[in-house]
Amino acid sequence: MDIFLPVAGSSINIMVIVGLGALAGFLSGLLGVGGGFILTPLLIMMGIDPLVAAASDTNAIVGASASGTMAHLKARSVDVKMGSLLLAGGILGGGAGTFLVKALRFGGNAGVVIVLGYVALLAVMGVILFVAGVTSQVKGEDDAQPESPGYRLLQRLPMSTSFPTSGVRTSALAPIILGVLVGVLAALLGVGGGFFLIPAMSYFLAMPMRVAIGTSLFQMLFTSAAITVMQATVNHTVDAFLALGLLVGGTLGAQVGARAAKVLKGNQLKVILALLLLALSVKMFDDLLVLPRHFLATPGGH
Amino acid sequence: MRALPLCAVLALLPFQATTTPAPTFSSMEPVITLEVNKAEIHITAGFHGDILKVTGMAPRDCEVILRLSSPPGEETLDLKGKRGPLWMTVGKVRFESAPRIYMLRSTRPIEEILPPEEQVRETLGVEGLKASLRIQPGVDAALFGAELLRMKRDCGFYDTKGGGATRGGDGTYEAEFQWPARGPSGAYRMDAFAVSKGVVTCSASREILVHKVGVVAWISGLAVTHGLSYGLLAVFVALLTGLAAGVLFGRLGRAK
Repeated sequence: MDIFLPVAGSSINIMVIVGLGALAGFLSGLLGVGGGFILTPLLIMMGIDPLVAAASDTNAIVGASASGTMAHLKARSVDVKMGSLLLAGGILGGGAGTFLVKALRFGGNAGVVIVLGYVALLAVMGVILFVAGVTSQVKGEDDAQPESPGYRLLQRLPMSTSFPTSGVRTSALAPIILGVLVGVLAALLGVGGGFFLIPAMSYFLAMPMRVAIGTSLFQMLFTSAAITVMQATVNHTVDAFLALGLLVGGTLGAQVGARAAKVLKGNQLKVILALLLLALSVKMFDDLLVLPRHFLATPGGH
Repeated sequence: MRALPLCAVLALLPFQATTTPAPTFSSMEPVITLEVNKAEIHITAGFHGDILKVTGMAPRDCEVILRLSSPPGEETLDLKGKRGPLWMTVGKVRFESAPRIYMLRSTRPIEEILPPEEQVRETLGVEGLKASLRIQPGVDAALFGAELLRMKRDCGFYDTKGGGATRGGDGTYEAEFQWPARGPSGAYRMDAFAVSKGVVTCSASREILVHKVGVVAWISGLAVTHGLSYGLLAVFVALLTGLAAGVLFGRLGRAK
């Protein structure tokens, strides 16, 4: 059954949207990543305008992360204290990132700088996570993070605070710094930042994987809501039909994902996320090398 | 040239073909009539493109060309180029005048029935379309014109091949146009041309209006005119759907 997307201005099979939403929702529930980084390229491949795809994904992520956050709140795997500090940092970083984008655009070729930054970031995070997951899997350790060099580094900062939900004691500045970094990246790369935040929380804050996932969702809920309103106001690129279709699939997928997260071990989750990040990194880099089909394109793409 | 007076009248009244009294076939003047099965295309929630059926009468010894097009407008596109090993947007190309939609149907391939200079004069066929394009000064117009045609063809917006129109024994003709689902809203025009000996002898036209209706019109209108309220509404609906699903699945989980 086809549906016409009023803002995107194109027609698409509704089951395709719901299916894509379910895939993203599953990842969201399982890994805490928003799924936007998978959805956006897939929707663009189906001929949806890139700006509309990104903005509508963000809108759908509001709903998907709402149900995901609730599921994780019930499972007591959201560190609200940590999440609030991350969010505060995220807002600061998001503002700074917006101006950085403006400056890069002024210099020209911002798009490629951004994509290359993405490729490098995903590859590095993927490798770190993969090695961490496989090593502890082999050693038979559970998913409690031992003291990584990154954790020890940030622990030296002042304002040491206890985070009971995560079972760690670190500086209150640590999550704010991470939040700023994620905010900058979110503004630059146009994604929720979960794919970066979760490994970072695991590495730098020594948070258990499951709490890192829940807390990332909590943070993402507020960030995506703010971005949706901004996109709708400034760029008029939020397609409500598209978002709702993705969301219906997303809520179904998120429930399945959250349940799968309870069954699967933290180390397995790390490996799955690592493989996803590496695959995406390769895909994005490949896109820059392949001869485009057309030398002229409607503005809004990469 | 005896055809000129009637053709001139038709050309002066291109959008009144519906109200013009049926031409009399008793005279020897060549004349073409044009009927389209719909004057409006409504973009509804279930819209996935449309089919326009075109019929009419034309002198038996003439070929018929049908053209569905928009008035030309301005469009700026990104230009892709290679920097080192990477493909990226390297600039912009402004088309000062290009139609959004341009499709042809004809009883025989266009290049067989119209010489290039006639194609250019009537904006018919690949040559006619290329000649009608206006591109920003200082760029290779032929190169970018050809590239625009290739891109628009792949989008389903341009179809310059022609063919696909059939003649009946009684002087009738018919053809179908596939309106693309992504075709932009706006005013379009269907033109019918009778061609004899490589020259257009007469023509007729109809206006076709493409517009959004119902919930599609409401949402797309709101998104543009009330961005903030629309954004807040979109967030609210998303939250509600997400939370409702969470509660629903929570209950289902407990019931097990």
